Amino acid sequence: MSQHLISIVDDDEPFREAMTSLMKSLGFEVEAFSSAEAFLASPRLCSTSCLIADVHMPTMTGIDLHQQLVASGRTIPVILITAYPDDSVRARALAAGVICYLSKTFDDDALLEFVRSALVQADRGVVRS
Amino acid sequence: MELMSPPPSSDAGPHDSLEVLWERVSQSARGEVVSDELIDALMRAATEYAGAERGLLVLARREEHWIEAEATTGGGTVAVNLRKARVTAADLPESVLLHVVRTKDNVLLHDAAGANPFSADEYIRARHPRSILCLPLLKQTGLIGIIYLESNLTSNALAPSRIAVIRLLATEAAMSLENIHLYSDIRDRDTKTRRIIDSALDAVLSIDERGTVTEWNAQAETMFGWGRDEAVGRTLSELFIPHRYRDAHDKGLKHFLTTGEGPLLNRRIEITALHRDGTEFPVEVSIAPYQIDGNWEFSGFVRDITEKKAAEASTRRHREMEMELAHANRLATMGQLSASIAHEVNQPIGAAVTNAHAAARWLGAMPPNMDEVRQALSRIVTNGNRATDVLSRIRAFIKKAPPRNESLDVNHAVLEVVALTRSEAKKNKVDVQIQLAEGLPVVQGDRVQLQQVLLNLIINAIEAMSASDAGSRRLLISSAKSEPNDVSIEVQDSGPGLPVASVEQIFQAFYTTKPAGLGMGLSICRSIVEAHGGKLRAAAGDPTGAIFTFTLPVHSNDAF
Repeated sequence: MSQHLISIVDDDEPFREAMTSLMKSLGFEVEAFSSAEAFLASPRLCSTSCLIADVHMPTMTGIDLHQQLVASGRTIPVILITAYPDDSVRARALAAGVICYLSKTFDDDALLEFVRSALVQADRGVVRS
Repeated sequence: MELMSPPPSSDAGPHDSLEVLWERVSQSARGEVVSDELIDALMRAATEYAGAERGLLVLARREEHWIEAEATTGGGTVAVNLRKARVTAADLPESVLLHVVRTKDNVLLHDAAGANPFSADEYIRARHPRSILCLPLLKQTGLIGIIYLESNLTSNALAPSRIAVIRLLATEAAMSLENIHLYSDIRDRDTKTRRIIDSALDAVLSIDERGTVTEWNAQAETMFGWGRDEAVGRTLSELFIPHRYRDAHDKGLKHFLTTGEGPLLNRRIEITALHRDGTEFPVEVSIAPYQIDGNWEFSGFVRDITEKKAAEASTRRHREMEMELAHANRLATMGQLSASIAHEVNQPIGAAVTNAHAAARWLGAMPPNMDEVRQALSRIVTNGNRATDVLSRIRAFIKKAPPRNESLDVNHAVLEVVALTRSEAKKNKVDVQIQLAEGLPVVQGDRVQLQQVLLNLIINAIEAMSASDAGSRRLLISSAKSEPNDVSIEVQDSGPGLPVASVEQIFQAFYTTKPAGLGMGLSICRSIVEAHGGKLRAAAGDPTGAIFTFTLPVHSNDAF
């Protein structure tokens, strides 16, 4: 598997650690950030192939982060993960172009599928807007 | 007191008055005469018998000399004037008096004008008495007083036998007087003691070895319904011990008399007493034993504590109600939080599941990465602990428990509550800032109750800001030292602020701005803080919003 960089953004440290380990076990290179701002300011931003972000974060939410990326023309596929799944938020997020919206107790096969298809799309340079 | 028969008359003289005096003295021994009569008889007899024109009876009263009576002869009769006054130089020659007092000897001057040791005396020089007789009245323990007799006629030397008789009679009379005074003092003291006992608000009584009542004061009559005459002679058991306890009471008494052990003696104990009319009521009793002439007696003091018990029960019920209310408030608050609490637990569970997925993947790798597997499993344990931690903290919070008095670290307690509300704040997009001062002194109080106060304030703040713009919801929770000796905790929000009209109104019970609110929160919070000796205040924030501050005293309080 090619070394795609998966960036993980979540203010909850235990979840960040768990996600990092999971994505590594799936063979990806992983970078983790405790806030959206930290990710946006990081040099690794450009090389991120896929972003997995928590929805509820104190200073900037996952949805706002996605909107910022879209507005700045970055075509990084975004997967949103949340501890408080909410249907209206899901609808809004998907409409905005988020790849998928999962609860934190997700099925890892499903996650893997979404990540793979997101990478394929990224490689092809096609991203839904 | 030995009485001699009246002396035989050696000279012609007024023996009638001697006999009268003799009679008075023996009457006083029988308690039949008052002191005034005795004094009168004494002075009359002494003055006549000595042929004096003037006589004074001086008695020693508490280190001072007081004139009790003055007798004067005029026109053949003796007049006795009972006066009570301190001795002065104008009454008699003080130097003579002092000499007699000191030496306890008679002083007899046939001619006071002539050369004598007292001629310089002020009185003698002024009044020129002719002859003077001054006698000490002695008893075993000292001087009772003196008799002073003077005459201005040509010196009529008194025969020594007369002097001796006068001295003897006067001494007997003075001793009788003393006894009269003594008995009168005793009677007064006894009356006073009796008055004190009867005026007492507690029942005062005493019983003898057989448990029979020997003393029964006025309050005992009222308290138990038995008059003094009815009570004295009856046993305590029959008077106010309920039937079911009589046996134990009697046994206890016997036990003390045989073994000297009295576990219920010399202490205050609470028992049930029985009124004559059959009603029972609670009393506090203390019984003390004492011995008189080798016989045991017991003094008892009884206080009716019906009112005190009622007040205690009322306070207890009041406390129970407060606890119920506080409990209901806690449940309501936690109910409001429940959705967020569920999410609070979801975080560690989510992490645990993800770690489990990771462990499975690492295990299935070629080759399996056991190190990563172990790390993942260990993280699962941590995640699980955190979940149970959150749950047990919540359970502890909801549990009904009596208020505790413990030392608590304020900042630590604040952080725990903030952790509980983190999810709710997140859900409502409230930005939470914490500013906790370092080095805060330890505070005494009930951790859970105080955390409940903070929880209420935070929930209120979050709700207040729900109508504000998402980006402008800010919550600041801070702790600080507050003069003079307090710790203060503040919750400031950026919501719409307080109703301007009356800030204090919001602390009243049943005040609420929430459509479904109970309105118990702030009033309970205030009573919790006040029970800790602190204060809860609200003020307007700058530029908007509200600031709720509660202070807690650092010294330990007696609320518990």
